Amino acid sequence: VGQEITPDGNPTMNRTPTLRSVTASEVPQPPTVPTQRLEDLLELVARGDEAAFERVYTRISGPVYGLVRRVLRDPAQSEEVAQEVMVNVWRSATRFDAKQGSAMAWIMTMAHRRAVDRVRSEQSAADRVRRLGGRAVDPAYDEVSETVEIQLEREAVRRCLDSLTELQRESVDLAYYGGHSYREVAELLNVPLGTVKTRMRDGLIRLRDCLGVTA
Amino acid sequence: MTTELHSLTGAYAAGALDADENDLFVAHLAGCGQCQVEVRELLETAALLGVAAAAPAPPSLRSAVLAEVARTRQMSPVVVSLSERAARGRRPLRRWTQTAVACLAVLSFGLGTYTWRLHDENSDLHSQLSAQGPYTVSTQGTDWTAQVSMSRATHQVQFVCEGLAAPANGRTYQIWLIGPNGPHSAGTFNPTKDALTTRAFTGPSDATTLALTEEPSGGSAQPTTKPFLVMRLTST
Repeated sequence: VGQEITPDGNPTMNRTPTLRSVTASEVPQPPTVPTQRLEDLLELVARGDEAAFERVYTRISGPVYGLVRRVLRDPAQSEEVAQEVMVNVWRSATRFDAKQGSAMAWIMTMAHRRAVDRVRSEQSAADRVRRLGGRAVDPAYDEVSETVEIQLEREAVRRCLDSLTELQRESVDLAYYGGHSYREVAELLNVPLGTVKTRMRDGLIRLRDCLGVTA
Repeated sequence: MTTELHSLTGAYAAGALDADENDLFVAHLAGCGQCQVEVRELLETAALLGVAAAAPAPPSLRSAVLAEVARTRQMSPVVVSLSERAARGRRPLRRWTQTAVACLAVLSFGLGTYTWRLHDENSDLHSQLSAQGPYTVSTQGTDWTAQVSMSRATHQVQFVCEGLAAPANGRTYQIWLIGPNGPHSAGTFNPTKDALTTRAFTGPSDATTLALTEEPSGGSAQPTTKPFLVMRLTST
């Protein structure tokens, strides 16, 4: 495709009329590309910039709320925990260190830990089931449509999860999305502890490689 | 033990360790550069799993968060204060001073659970969580880690450290709990580089700080050198 072909058509290329090289300015830009890195926004937030925090909120509320809800399932409880996470992003932005990892990972780790803490502080599993039974209807959602970024991420994760062995996938799924400890996962899958430990690690390593994650 | 702990990187990144194992793993992590890299990568990976679960947040969340933010003070950027320039010029101690300055900043990413507990000291939710369990503070350098857990109810303190260089010949490390009435000795220890040191003691109920000094063998009645590590037991 190295050859420049005029859009009005070249008779010698009539077999492939749609192929032509384009210049960068011709490539359509996605309508909503976030221009500021989350890390840079957090730096502003750390200095008390509430407007920057609102932009951070817009970027991360979907991922934070979605993950918390995936783990907790109960919408009201999820909203509560998501609020704690978001406010803690505000409070502790002063302590975010980009050398230790990405802003998204920092925030999502916080969200996940918080959701899991909540699961584990539940009085009993029965309690949780009872409360779940009482809440069938979700609250109204924001009209904000999903960003292109998140859609792509979701696709990639789905594809990469498919590349895991069943035991790896189940271990990662039950631990991360299910909020179960690896001991519980071993119990649920009826496999030895050591097996779950290594499958969880192998699974995440395979995902890391498939998703091209570097630290 | 090291290999076994190393295999927990996945479970740690997936948030699947229980509290005790998490503590052990975090202590191990501080002295294991290879694990740190892997944990960082796996946390980034796990975060993508999280992003993939994104769902539109209810509109009420936005207003609730922004309202709370408007009345919430941000934390100061430094949590652990170190006795400034302590033991400057003494090689192993200087290294401690330098590395420990960044200690809780490091925690803010890699050791999510701890940071959270530390940060949320003042929130209602935290008081519920910590009413039963101990209050934990950790600090770490590239090849060592120290952690203090204190029970609010019984004033029992557990001090754990790993990877510290041994004190000079004829010297020992001494642990101090410091409150409004000054330092209170909590015993001495002579670590070897590879061993885990664990000390449990009951401290004065009003202790706000734990400090380590190097003292002559047998320990001193009062600290005779500047502390090379200071961990604040209260939140900022």
